[in-house]
Amino acid sequence: MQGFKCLGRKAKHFGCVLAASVMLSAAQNASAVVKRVYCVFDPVGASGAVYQKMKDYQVAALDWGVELELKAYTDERIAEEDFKAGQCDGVGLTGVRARKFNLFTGTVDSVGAIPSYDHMRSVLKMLAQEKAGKLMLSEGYEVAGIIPGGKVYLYVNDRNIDTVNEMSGKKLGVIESDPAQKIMSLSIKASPVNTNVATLYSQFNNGSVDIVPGPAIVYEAMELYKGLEPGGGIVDYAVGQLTVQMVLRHEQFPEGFGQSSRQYIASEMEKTFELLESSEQGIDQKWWINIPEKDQEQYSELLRQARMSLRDKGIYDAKMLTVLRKVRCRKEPGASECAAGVKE
Amino acid sequence: MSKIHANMPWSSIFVSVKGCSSRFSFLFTCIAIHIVSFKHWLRTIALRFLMLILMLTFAGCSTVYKGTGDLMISYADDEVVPYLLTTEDVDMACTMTEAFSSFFFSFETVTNSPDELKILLYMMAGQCSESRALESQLQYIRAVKQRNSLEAKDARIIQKRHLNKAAQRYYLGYNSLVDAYGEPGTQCPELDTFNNEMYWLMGLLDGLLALFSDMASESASGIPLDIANKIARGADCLDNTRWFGIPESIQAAVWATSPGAMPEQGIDPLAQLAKATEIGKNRRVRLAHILEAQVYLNRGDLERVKDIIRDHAIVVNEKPADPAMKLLDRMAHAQLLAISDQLWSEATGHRTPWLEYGTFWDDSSSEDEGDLDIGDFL
Repeated sequence: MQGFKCLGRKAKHFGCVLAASVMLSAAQNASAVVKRVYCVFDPVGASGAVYQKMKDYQVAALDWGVELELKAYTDERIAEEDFKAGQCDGVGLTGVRARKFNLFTGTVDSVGAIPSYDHMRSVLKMLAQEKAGKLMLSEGYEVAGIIPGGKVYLYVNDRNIDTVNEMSGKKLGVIESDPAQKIMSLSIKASPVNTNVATLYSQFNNGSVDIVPGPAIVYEAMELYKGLEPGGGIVDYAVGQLTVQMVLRHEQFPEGFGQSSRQYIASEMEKTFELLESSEQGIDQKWWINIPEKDQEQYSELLRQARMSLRDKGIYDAKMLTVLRKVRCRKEPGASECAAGVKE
Repeated sequence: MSKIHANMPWSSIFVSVKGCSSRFSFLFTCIAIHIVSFKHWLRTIALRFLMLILMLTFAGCSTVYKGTGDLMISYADDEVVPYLLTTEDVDMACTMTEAFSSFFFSFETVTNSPDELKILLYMMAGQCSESRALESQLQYIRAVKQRNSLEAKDARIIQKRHLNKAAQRYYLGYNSLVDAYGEPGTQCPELDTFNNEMYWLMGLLDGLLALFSDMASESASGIPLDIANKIARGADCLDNTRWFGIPESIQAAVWATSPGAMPEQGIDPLAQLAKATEIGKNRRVRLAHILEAQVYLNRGDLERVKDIIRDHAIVVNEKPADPAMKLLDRMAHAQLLAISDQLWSEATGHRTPWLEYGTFWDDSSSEDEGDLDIGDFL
């Protein structure tokens, strides 16, 4: 109302003009806001931590010109299918599934490529930079943010399975939707047991598989201490890191939305790292199996060879592997891979 | 020589001093003896007085307090709780809980901790916080609809504060269950009275609600995630029909989100939920409805959620709640109304219209237009 009064007095004061223009701009912004549907995969659904986090994202998106309607999915495959079918304008998927929409960002989840949270922090900050914007686009899809999901460890039912050689012949639970896991399993001569996230950990607890990969959060949620009893352990070496990636149909969103979104998600990552670290610290120390430095190098080289093999099969993106190698070598210039003849 | 006894009055001391020998040689001796005696008497009096105070403080008062504490806890357990369960004013139960819980719980300093009472009172206190969180949630939904990001953000912050408080209260309730009966999920405790069974059930619900509230507030309270599976196993200790289908609906709610936790393959959690809801309907305590609605809400199946609320609205009108469990039934009603409000707000910006619980904005009009066409009469 103040604005109208000012205009009625022929806008004598600059302040009135400014106020009026701000109101006009706000009104234009409000009308420029578009409605879009965002599908959220969360194993727990609408009560889960990921979905709840997306509510804050929904609020932030208003400032970038989009009113998001959130839809919860407890089955990732259905979320992906609904996205492909056009029922969602955006979707949150694990990195393995997001690979189908952007091989570059989907390779962040590649085996053994990001050894620590410090490395992950650097990678995610880099990918949120404006300069990386073009790489976020692929065939009409845009990755609008990457959320860290935690380091993946190997849970073993026998503490003696602490070297690559010891894994030979052991039953290794692999998730069928990730071809990399099966190839990896075969490369270390383990027997892959195809399964899904819903049953993977119960199979470990009832002894059907000897080794399962998983982040620290499943230790408590899936009561993995049952499968670890009496003589098992968790190999203290990150064989990979999980991510959740937000994939959008680029044309459905206003110009600049993706970049604002990536910067917002990057600004929120510290809270997520705190949670991830706290779930790792919550694991009883007795379960951790320390790996001698010599064996760590063996793991590291094995995973490097696996990445290059998966790159050659078209499962991983060469450019991202190079970026990740450069990040590792920046942080640890003395690592053998940095001087290797054949580099990623 | 006169002696001063501990029970001598002050005047007799004066007399005895006056009655000393007049001879000087004995005078000082006499005075000295009397002073010593007087000091001795005074010390004895002081000691006795001190002992009396100590007795009152450490024996007398603690005996009184302990007796009062035992009496109050017994009264709360035997009378307040059953009475509360027969009431139907959820708001009053909430206020009573928040106002009186600290008073009841303070007796743990003079007698045994009222763990069982804590299970129930923390649950109701958690509900108070959750209902405040709901108001903030509706405010956030409205603000998003109005595209007011500042208002929406503020509402989310308040919502998380309340949910965090709710998570902490529920978890204290769950821990009281652990203190009173042992950790659920291993073996069943002796549940030989109605109250024991009820406390066990409420404690399991405390744990489940703590987990949900914590997840909704960025896991700030760090509630251990493995309690979900423990709770599902702990629900096996109760008779499902006797407890209105709630035990099996708890299990189904956990297994629906964590299929790997099922004791055997082939269980259909959704079918189990539907069966539990039917039992709740027949027993006229419709708590299983909430868990069923929550599971479908989690899965994003809003049409099914609406059906559950429609069904609930019909049955509560047709069949009044079990008189002994009115409060639980009303709490279930309040929770379902909250879900209905959330759906209505997301669709229309306002909550469930007055007296329209069980209906939805997109219901097709069922108004009978009648046999007569006004066109024929114009």
